[in-house]
Amino acid sequence: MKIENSFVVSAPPALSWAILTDIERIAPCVPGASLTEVTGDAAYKGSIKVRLGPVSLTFNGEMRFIERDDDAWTARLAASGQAGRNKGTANTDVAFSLTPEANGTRVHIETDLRLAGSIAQYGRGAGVIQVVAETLIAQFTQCLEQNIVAAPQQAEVPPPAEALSAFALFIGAIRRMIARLLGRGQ
Amino acid sequence: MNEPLGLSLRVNGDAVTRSVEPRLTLADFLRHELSLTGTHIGCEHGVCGACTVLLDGRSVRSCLMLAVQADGCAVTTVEGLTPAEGLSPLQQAFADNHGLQCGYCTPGILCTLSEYLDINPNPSEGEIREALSGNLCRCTGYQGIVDAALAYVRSAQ
Amino acid sequence: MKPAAFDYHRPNSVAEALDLLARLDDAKVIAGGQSLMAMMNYRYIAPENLIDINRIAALAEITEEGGNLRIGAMVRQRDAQDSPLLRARAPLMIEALDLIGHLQTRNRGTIGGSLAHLDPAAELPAVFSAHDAVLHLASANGAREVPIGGWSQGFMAPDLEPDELLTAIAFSPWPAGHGHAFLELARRHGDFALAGAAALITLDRQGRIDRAAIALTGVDMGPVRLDAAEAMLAGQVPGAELIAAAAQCADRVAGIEDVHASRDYRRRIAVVYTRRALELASQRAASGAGR
Repeated sequence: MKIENSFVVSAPPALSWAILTDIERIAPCVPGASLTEVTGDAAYKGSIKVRLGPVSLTFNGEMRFIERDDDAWTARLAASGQAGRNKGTANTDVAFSLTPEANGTRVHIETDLRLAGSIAQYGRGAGVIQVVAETLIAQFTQCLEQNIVAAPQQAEVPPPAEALSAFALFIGAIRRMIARLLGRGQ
Repeated sequence: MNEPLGLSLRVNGDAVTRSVEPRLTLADFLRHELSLTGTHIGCEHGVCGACTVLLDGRSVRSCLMLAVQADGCAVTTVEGLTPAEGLSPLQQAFADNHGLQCGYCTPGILCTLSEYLDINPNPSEGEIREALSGNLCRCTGYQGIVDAALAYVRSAQ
Repeated sequence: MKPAAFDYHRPNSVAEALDLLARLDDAKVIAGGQSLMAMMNYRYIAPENLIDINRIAALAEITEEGGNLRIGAMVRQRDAQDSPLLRARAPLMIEALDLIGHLQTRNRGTIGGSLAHLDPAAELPAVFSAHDAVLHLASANGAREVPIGGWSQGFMAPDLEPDELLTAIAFSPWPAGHGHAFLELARRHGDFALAGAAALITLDRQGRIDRAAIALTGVDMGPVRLDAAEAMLAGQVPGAELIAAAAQCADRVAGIEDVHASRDYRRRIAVVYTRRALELASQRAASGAGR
């Protein structure tokens, strides 16, 4: 099933991108999520507990970047998780993109969610999953805003003509700055 | 996980003691453990009423109860509403008024009416229909059932 | 279908129940079971642990203290219907209880269960919303209270942590002689309502509306209070035109779209039933026959 979400954060795109792609930084902002391992450069293991009305599901699995464009601020993530005790699996493909907006950045997320096993029955209540996703995103956004407020305000959008490697270095520098500011070594 | 649990209750007046899985529903307990197959299973989610039995005198959905929850209680099934010989006056009214065809919904309806007519011994037709709104019938179109209940009420006056 | 296997726990006291909730992972509390067992039979839900609170007598009391009514979470809907205290003090609840499911489900179903399950079409949340009720929760870490307005956090998701137990619902009954009305539209008696309205009205000695409360069910994730309508009615003499105008406020509800009815249809029902509930509650308030 396809789920679309969109929200605005008050930071400029480059800063928002840096924060959003720092999975370790933003994992605590995802309600019910916990990161247990960072394997390699772009792969993460963890779990997420989701409430779908009366049903509570805990997924254990992994997530990684399969595409990433630091210039265009677009990326794709693939995640898969097992719901405990033979209840089934969830596989998602998440495409997200950032576009500048008057007072910040619009983040657009397109999720392709595939549920298999007995948990697939929850996918039939399409409206419920959309509502739950929206609630999750709302809480995530709130937390993200708090992170942005804590981040340096003076991050600038680099001129588009810059070479990719220089740009990547610049983003890396911002991430390290944020990480230091927030008391985490990198 | 799912360890058998001891259970003691009265069913149709008889003391019963068993050890069952907690997940066993009261309906399945009655039918499979006690071979009281008069109680029927229609929907398993509480809307059809075919599984209705009496628990301490109150009509309940036996498909929505765990057998272990009936520990210490008195359960009456349609077998308990039936005399040793022949039919009860209520059952006779059903037979006389074409109140059943396949009979699948009938035990649940008899249990419901058993409680309801105790609470309200002289109901109007409208009240009977409302009281039976939790018991579905696919055969009769309900008129025969309502007639049977009314006939019983009249004869019991 | 039959329920999946689970570990069964049957605490005899609230303290025992709270200890279990604190210790166990993936636990569901079973009260009346009229909603939970249905879901478990279909394996829509398959908790690893089931905590059966039916033996905790302390949760099944209805008391009145210092002007407040307190209904224990385990009070069966049938017992609530038969309660002389509730019949005298909360006629709105009595009228709503008659419309909940069927006799067989009310014989087991509980007041607390309905609030904890929080089906969008449930009657009791709207009744408690109209009464500005407060929900009492307990956990091994302490107790907290949640006003009904903040109870619903989403689709069938009340503000109830996995280690918490709803123990009671408390509210201040409206004064004797108040007018009440609970009306809902369901295709058949006992079906889930498409939409419904709960109304409470008191009139002053000049026949003007002193206080009004209107709460809707079936039109959003949780009960919806029509503050705008209440504001329109305050201090006014209830009349057909005023009531119709106030009822129009119901048109602004979110509505629910599903196989049974569209969003728009539910909004239309909400407006009509708000009007009818206000009319009936006003009539009852005027005749002082709030009982």
